[in-house]
Amino acid sequence: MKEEIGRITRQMERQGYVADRAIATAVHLAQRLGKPLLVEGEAGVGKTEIAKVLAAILDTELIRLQCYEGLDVHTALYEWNYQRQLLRIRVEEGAGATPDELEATIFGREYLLERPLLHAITRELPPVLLIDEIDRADEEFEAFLLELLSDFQISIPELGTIKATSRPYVVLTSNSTRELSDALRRRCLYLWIDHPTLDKELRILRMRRSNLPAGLAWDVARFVQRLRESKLYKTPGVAETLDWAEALELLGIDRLDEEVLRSTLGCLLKDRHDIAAISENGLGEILEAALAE
Amino acid sequence: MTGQSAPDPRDLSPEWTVRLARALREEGVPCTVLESLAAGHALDQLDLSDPLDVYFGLRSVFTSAQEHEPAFDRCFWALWGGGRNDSRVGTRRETAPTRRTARGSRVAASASTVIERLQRPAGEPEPLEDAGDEAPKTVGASYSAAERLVQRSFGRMDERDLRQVDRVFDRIMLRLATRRSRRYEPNRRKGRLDLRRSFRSAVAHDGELLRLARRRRKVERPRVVLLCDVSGSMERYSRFLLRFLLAAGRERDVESFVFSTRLTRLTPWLSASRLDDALDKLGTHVHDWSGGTRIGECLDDFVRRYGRSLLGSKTVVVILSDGLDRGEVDLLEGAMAAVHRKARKVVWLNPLLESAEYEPTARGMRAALPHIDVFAPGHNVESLLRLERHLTLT
Repeated sequence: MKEEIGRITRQMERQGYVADRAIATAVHLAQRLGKPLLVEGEAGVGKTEIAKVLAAILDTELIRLQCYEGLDVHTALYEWNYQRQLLRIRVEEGAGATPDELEATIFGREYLLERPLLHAITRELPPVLLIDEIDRADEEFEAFLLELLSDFQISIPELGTIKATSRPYVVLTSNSTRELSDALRRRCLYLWIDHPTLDKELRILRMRRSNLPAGLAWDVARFVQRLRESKLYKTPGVAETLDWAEALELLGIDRLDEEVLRSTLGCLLKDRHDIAAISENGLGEILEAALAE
Repeated sequence: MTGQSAPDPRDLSPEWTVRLARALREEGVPCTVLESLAAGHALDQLDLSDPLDVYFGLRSVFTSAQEHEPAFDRCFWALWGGGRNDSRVGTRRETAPTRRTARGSRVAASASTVIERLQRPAGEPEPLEDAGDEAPKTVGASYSAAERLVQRSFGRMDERDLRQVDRVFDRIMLRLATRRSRRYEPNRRKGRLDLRRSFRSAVAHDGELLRLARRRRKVERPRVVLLCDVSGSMERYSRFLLRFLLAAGRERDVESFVFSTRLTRLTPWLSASRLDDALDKLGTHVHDWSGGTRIGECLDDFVRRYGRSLLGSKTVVVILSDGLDRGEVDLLEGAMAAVHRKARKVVWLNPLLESAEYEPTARGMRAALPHIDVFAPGHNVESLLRLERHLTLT
């Protein structure tokens, strides 16, 4: 194994993130090749965390752009501060400024509102730019983003072209609510994160819920692994496992039984129909099977 | 793997990467010289004596979606093992059979069948067994016990029909494409203040804000999910419907699937520029054309895999099926309930409604009915034309 990959694994672990080989390798390459990293996976498997942990490791700023339907350039990139510009015009009118002077003033950088993308490329040190849930933004925005990610420069009609002073480390996440364009996919390194294996989940539990009794952590991990095998509408992710472990910890529970399960199932299953289906039939068996392993 | 295969680092030459890229392309993973170049850079950053380093590293470079992973696995390990000895031809031979054995020889057969079906000229007789042409007979006879591939021709469709079908699809598509989007649009009186435009117009009046510009959201367009039954009993119809699905699937906000005993998402095959190319490619990937039907399992699978991402308050789900189901009724009912709950509207087009005497008495259809908003025929061009009026959110 390349030394750097091992180091990244350890560094991420120190930040409370258990990275397997696939994750560590992808993060390593994304850094070295200067390519954006596109991370996909079910909800709650730790996609967004990667960017946060990466920022912590590199000891740099994390800039986050949360995408949503209708997100446009003016929310993501820049906007003029219109109110301030108007005020300035009023003031300058009294002072008798020429139109050219006035124009130069009100279209200066201090009247420009930086949105996350502009902010990200004008830092001194390369920040980590997290473009979260890119699938929620629409295609027009995706196309625009593609351009930004290839040139790392932005052109503002009134001001000219702004070149990146530093290239951010870009992490994109997607929940696949929409198919991303091939062009965008292929500009990025790709990483699919699956639900963790038993071993990985246990390590995550030990790391993030260190107060949880060791035996209980085992049971929790095994039960969740079993539960994921059931047919569910919303399969619990690591985030749910951690929530559940925390609840068990707060309730001072030291061993799992059916009653405990019933009263805390809401931490794991977030769909009414899943809860009904699982608690009506199979809860006991799943627990039994899990603990028997 | 490590012991037997760790190749001499010099074997991971550009040629090796290019061979990997070529094998991947043959498996349908889109990769070009750009990926190969990036792979070269990636290898510089990896420990080449460690297969896992190379595997995970190149996987992140060459794949761009989860569904590429199995193909990558096959190609990578085939070449990794074979990359050591210098016979390139041998390596290539090794890759190809993997693929064939993995999916079975039926695949090839089904590809040709589909193309044949859609390209057979007018009136040519059906060469194979159980013609089953009259609707009732087809319905009775075409259940298949196992997932099987029937090399039966569609027969009845002629060129004129095809062209007519394509014209209608164009119309429906035009309609879908001109539904209004989610973006803001200027509005004279209502909506939020649009400072940018207000200011622009103020500049023309010496900075005097004479008129406030406003903007509001455009009417939102629904997302459409099309699920088409391609099992044996639907064979008479699915040739029309498939063209429709492929044409529709190219539209924004339209997702199409086919199912019989298994569910297949069509999106990956829509990038081909010609409809026939898309059909051709699709044929190799759907393994149970004209086999039996398990609507329940397929819908259930759909809800689980795509429900959260595709279903929502803006989604219209269109199911094209005769409702003749071999699977569990409970599962079908549960899945239909879930679809109905999550989607804005559920439309079921049943070709059997063409007959006036048809009553939805099949178990599956009966179970599904309570969860359907619009139940309409879907046996001809006319009925598809009527579909467009249901593709609204109200």
